Amino acid sequence: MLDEPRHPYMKGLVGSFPTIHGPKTRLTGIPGGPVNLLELPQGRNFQARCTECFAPCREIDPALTEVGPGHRATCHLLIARKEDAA
Amino acid sequence: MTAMQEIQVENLVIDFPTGGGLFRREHIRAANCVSLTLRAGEALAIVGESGSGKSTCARAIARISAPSSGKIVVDGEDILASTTKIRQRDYAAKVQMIFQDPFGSLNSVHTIRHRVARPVKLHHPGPSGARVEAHVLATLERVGLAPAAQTAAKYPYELSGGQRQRVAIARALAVGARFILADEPISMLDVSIRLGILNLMEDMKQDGIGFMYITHDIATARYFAERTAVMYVGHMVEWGESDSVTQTPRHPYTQLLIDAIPQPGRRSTAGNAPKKRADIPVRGPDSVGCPFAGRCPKVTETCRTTLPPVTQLEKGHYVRCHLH
Repeated sequence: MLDEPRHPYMKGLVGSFPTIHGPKTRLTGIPGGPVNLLELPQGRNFQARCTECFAPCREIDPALTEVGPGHRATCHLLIARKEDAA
Repeated sequence: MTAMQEIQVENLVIDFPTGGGLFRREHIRAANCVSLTLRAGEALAIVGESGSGKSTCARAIARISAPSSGKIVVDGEDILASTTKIRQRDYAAKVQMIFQDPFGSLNSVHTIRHRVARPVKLHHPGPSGARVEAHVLATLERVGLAPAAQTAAKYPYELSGGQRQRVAIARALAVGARFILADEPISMLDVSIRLGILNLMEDMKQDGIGFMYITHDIATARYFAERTAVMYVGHMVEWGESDSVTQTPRHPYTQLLIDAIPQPGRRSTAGNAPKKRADIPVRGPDSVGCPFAGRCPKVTETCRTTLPPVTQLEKGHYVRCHLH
């Protein structure tokens, strides 16, 4: 999970910590703020903040899918990549 | 008052009375011999545990509380001297604080508009209501709170922690702050929001604003600040360029702080961490020796009796330790 985050949200979380020894680059964190639970959008809750959002994300919520050995995620992009690879 | 370029703090000492009788007052020394320089367009990070005097120094520089002795020199003029021509209110407009808790620092019964406009009206009386309003909205846009007109009409409870902290920054910017003393501005925010605030402050540096960035987190100090100073029980124990201090820490306390940072990919090293040998000491005006002597893994007899002098290691990197 930490070494190879897959989901854009997880990537954002892992990329939110400046390191003490690594290279100094401008980090972005996760843009925007948490979604309003009273006005949930159609499709993915995370779509407004996602850097890799594409058409299916605005329509339906994806199911939890295995994207690696014992590593599961809910993300259209990861599912599409897995189907391409298969 | 011209645009401030530099605030130099020289030998700041801050004592707080803790009791005692009529003839013998007892004091604790919250800051001792603190000397530092804040420059416009640059950030100085102050790192240390709770109780090391970081906030106390910031409050003295903001003139919220008065130091027991020492100088605060602004562009060559000592503002604590009775001869100073710099008025307290003019100074306050230029040197603003941001506090740790964005839920406590904004009054919940006022709108954001009121919160940002009020200090503008106090410090710069004169402009019409419409001009103040335009200024408030422009400032809210600048800190990333668009659409500003909608944000201005909201109450603090309608905003998230990160947004509130942006309001606190807007409040400082709106009165024309030249220096911002940020007292742990991101420690109460979600990790994903923290970088947004740090990057906003980074952009403000480009506009010539100087920062004193108080933090527990030495990694964000390196990320944001050009220079870093490490404090322990009221003393600056090591300071210099942030990269120099974090990559080649020389004071045992700085080394301990850097070893204490958990890193993704590095499993717990609790087993090899040095045992905490004592609590943070309480120092008074009569205390002797190095403040860190009780916890230092490399303590010598001299450390317990004499306060170490300041040694320059390489250009601009200083340490207060008998080992160097």
